[in-house]
Amino acid sequence: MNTLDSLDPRIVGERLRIAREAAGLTQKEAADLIEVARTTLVAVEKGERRVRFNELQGLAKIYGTSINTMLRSEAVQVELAPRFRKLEETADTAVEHAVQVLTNFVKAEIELENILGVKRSKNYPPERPLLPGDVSKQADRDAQELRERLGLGNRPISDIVTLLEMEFDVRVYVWKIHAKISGLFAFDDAVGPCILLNANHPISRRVQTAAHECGHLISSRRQPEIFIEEEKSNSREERYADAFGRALLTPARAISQMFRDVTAGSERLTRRHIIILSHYFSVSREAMVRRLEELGLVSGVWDWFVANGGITDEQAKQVLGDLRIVDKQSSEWDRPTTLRLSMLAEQAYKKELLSEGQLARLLCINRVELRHILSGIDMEGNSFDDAPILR
Amino acid sequence: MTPRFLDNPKTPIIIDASVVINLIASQLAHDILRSLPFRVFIVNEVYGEIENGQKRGREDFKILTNLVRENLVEVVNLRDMAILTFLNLTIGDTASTLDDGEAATIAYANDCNGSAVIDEKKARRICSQHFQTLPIFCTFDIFLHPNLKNALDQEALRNAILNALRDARMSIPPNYADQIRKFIGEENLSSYSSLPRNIREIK
Repeated sequence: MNTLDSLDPRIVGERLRIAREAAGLTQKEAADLIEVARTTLVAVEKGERRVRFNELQGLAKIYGTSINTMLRSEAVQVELAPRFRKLEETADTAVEHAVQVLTNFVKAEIELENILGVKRSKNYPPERPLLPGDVSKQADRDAQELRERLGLGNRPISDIVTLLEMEFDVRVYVWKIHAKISGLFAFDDAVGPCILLNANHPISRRVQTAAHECGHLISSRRQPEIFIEEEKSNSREERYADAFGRALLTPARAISQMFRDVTAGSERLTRRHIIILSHYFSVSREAMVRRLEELGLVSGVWDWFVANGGITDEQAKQVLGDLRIVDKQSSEWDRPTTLRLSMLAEQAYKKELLSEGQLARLLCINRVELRHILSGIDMEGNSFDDAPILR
Repeated sequence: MTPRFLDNPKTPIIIDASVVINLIASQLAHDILRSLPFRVFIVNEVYGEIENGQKRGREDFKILTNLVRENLVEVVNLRDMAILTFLNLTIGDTASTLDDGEAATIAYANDCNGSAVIDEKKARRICSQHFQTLPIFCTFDIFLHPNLKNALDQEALRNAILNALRDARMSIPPNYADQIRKFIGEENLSSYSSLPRNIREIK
């Protein structure tokens, strides 16, 4: 009996179904492409009929994957798509692409962690489900609680992505997806919380999105979200997440204090004040002005600036010089995959746990891109073998 | 298996995706393949892998189809016993399996009593553990083949190797490092900071 026949056909069928859905094909489309009856493919996916070798070859080809990727024992099955699909009324290719990006990253990361024996902690923040009453007040309270838990006091959060990753074990990925999508959030018991942010958005917008998704993590963890600014609903969950994001990044007391300090002695509110405040709290200038308005510290200010030429990047540069916000994730744009995945891949490759072909498939990159990653990390060369050992 | 020159024209030589990519990156693939005294084959799985690479902006597939059309590379399919070997190499736990192209190359070469040309470390290890009688070679056994020394302009061959090192980030097995250093020349090496460190270091 060959190794294919020794596998449980229901497991094989399940894996093939997941691979087909990841490739965005219906059963009819896949069956037609490999020239079998749809009923045959249905039976195979249900485990009622064993797949034949030539059918398996055909399916691997049309799904753009390999037999090894689909059927090796530790292949991790991550299905986030069905969760997101429930949220959409019609199929949207931009969203489907973003969901697939997130799924691929999560799948690759988990499989690499498993094979390397990396144990991830699950230090998620406590859930605070929505209660009746004013959601803004709840959001304010919960954000304050989180800040205290992190020992932040009134200090700004300099890097919310790293904070989410390190303090709360959230998987955060930043990748180029359709401009209309700010981000995705999903929580799965096996995988934990995952967030995808848009690399096409400026850092201040990504920071806001991350803080917003953190609000979902706290209050509506089990509900996945596709965050599209223009399509935002007015649900309590959305209003909570927005308010939470604002309170987390720009807490009321800290803003009031700093506003008072920065504007001391001035008669008028100037662009310079806004530039300094927004830079200090790592938010956009518009977000800062709106927050000041929300807190009643100023009124009608943003509209005035918009009518008078706005506050430009050039002006910000003049005020801040080289102190502008460092976009830590920007170095990821030109990489074929994330930094964390690159490092996991390099370890797995060095230990010969995964071959070049297997890694390239897992990370959805080609071999040359993979070689760039592996040689980039291996800057130390052979002499690194003498470096101190980590215990 | 101690590498020796690929010199038996009757033995089918099956090359892996990695080797195909290195040869194409050299920009001398046509001349190299034409000058070799044996026929070169790739398995369908490797052909499919290179074809898939188009989606990520690689031009390799266009060149590969030319090589196939000009009969410099022949695409073959797994059959019979090779299929069983292939399944053993692809189905199992991750640490002891290989991706399809790598597995099919070994399976086909083993089944037809040919030789496999594979650069991949893990694949070579699995090969030497489970297929002890299968001769394995690497890309450099092709680049440094004596026939190429006679048939090709040496400067062109030097540039070919540098192209592959630079554009495909081809890796050099440690036991070839000295030969490559000698052949390419110290002055050429130091100008390529993208070269693997064990080659750049001038001893």
